[in-house]
Amino acid sequence: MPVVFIPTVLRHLSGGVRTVQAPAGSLTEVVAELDRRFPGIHDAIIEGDRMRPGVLASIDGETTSWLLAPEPEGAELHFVLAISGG
Amino acid sequence: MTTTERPPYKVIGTRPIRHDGVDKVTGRAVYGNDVNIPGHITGRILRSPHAHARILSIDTSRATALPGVRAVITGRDMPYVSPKLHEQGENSLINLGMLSRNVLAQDKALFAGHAVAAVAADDPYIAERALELIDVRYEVLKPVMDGLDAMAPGAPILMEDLKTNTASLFRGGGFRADDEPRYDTNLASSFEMEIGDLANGFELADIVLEHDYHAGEAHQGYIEPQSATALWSPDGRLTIWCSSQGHFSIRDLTSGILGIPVGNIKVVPLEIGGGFGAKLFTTIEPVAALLSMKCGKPVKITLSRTEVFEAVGPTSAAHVHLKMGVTNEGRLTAGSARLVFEAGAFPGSPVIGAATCMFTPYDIPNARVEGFDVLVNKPKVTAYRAPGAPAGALAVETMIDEFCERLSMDPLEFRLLNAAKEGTRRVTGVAAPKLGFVETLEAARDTPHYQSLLTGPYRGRGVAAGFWGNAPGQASVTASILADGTISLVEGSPDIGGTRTTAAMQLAEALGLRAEDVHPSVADTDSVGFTSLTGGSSVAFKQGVAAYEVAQDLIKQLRERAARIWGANLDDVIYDAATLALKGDPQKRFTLKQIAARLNETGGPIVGRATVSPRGVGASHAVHIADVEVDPETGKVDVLRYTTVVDAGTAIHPSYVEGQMQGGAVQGIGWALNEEYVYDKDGRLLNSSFLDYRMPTALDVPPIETVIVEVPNPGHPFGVRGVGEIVIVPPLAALANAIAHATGQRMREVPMNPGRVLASLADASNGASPS
Repeated sequence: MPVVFIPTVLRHLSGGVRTVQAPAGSLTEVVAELDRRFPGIHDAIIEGDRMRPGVLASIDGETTSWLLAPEPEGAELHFVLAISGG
Repeated sequence: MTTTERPPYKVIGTRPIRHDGVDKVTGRAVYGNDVNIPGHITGRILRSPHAHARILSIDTSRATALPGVRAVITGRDMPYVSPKLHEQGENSLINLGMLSRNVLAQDKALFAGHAVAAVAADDPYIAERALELIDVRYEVLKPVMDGLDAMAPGAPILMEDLKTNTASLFRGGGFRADDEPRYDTNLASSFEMEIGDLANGFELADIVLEHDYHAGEAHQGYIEPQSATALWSPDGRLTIWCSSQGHFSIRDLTSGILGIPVGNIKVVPLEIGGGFGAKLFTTIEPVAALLSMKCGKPVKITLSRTEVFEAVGPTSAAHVHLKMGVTNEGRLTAGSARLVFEAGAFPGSPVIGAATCMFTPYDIPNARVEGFDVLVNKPKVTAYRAPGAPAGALAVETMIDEFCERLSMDPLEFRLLNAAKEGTRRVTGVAAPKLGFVETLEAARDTPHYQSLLTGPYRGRGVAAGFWGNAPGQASVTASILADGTISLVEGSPDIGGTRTTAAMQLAEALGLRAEDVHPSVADTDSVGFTSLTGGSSVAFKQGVAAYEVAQDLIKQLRERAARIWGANLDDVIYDAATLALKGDPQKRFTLKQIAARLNETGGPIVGRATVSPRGVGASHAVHIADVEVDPETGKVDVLRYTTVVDAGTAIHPSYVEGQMQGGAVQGIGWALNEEYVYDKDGRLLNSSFLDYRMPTALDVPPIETVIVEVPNPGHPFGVRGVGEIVIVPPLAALANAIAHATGQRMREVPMNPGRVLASLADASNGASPS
């Protein structure tokens, strides 16, 4: 099962829980499962049918904003802030 | 060059003459102001003389009546774009409502230099006269010019409807909803990130230091001022010619601000005379477009140097409060930082860059960063090379130097002991991928510079390291095989640092050609697929992936063509070193040049395409070494010797990598020692010229020595990481550390200009503690 790291700013929604395991699937499915456990997380991460602006998913160190990106068994998932370059 | 695991490339790693070199050295290259569309007229912008003022009225009647004036516009001519968070469109990282108000003020002028009106006239003299005839009535308000002051209770409020954004992970601030109460805040957004157990981390430390640091605003100092020409056509189509760091960005933002469909706008990219982040987003293009819409003529706006300084922002001024702990054995145990970054008059400081980079070179198991994006009455900041990271590094790297001093440890050995490696948890929580920091530190340690002895009074050596994550992005290319066997490569990334050539070299490598056999060009927004910004040190990376992928497409089509000509199975046709061959039949061979000459008669032209959005971006590290001598009479700092060591992943064209390293170091030296915005008490900029804004010249810096480290990025077909930004991260701290060793006085505020250095020496003579 993928390990999901709850971002610091969203731990008020998870009651301070830092990591959870979620069933493998797409990013959308993983976020839906998180929201089932910790209501409000979906809206903090997803807006409409896209990742919120400025938010990226990091799946085993590779970043993506594609909600259908597969979240494979054993992967490590973070939600991180997008950085603007110069 | 220090290289690990490098395959035997034929093109990559060589130094061919750049494809656009002749045009640029002979003056034939076309930059923004070189465009002269027949019948074009001049646009000029009227700017607020006040840092903070309510606009009571704007009377344009006298200007409009002046003969030769074709159009006058104010903020009332701009379509309304909501800055309310909940009304912003999806996927809008940039608050278009805010951006629109930065382009042309609405009800308030929020910084001295804020555009309040614009004219288009037959010549520049009439346009300038027309600006004088525009009557603006202001209610002058008290400005707030410092980020900490702006967060204090009772501070002047820039935007009465601003709402601090903390609800989601992060988003630029915006306006409240109508049914929400006023917040009376200048705080646009805030965030925090934490790993480990901070309290426990400090418990484990034997030495804990805590200091405040400040970095002033530095301008990017690009040579070419912004210039744009816009032509509105009666059929509703808009064409813009401009230099930028992303013509697709200019198109999309202009579309959003003016409400013109993206499909009706074409942006033609021109050569760019430097950007360093300041030309990522639109500034004058919507103004030129509105003027053209009003008068029906092509309108060109070219900013003056003063306007560039006053109105197109520098990087943030930053306040950093830092606390770190270390054991007596030199192990970092904890780090905590509070970052207050000034955004200027509109949200969007690079505080995230500082937050995510400052601790990242090191394995610090317990860390916390809080970030604050704060409005002040200064120009809206824009990106500047590794935005935010230099200010964060100034704090962390000078504190590490203090630890080394207290522990009597060599600063590079200390960093090697604490260096992040693959798997190290960052403050974001993400585990580090394959890194080259250890190799970069070792290469710095082995340089002749670091191995040399520096002696003499008031002389000191400083070292500092830095991290930058680099950006991915999207890239689109097409490649056509020409009849002579060479390749036309069309891409969508404006070329700042020689990226036409690096893309061409990567395509040539993949096809087995010479770099000279590929002809790269940058196409307009109608002629190539979407390509994201030339920023984030992304272009050599993403265009390299695109070049590799388009090469695979060309090879596939060439094999199919040869199979058809030979009546052979596709699987039996092989392509290697620009030659097609049929397995088992040595007589069946085509060089690329031979088959290229027969394409039209054997099925038609071959055009390859690739659109990529690669995810395997690789982070970069740098280590800089600086020797300085301080004049105790004047406080002037002379840089005696400077070495920059950078992990490039793979240096496609080493000369361009070295150029980035040297340029970044020099910009960092300028920021560290002299460059700073100076305002009067009313918030007006006092040094808006290159005469008064003191950038380093060739007389101020020694030759910059370079060492390229190559630890290939496994996420790129050729191992590219990105070098455009990491190069400016360490200089502030390297020089602060060098000055500390020269004088015994710690410098925690940049620029370390003669006045500040003299003050620190006076503190020392008055008995103040050096640390």
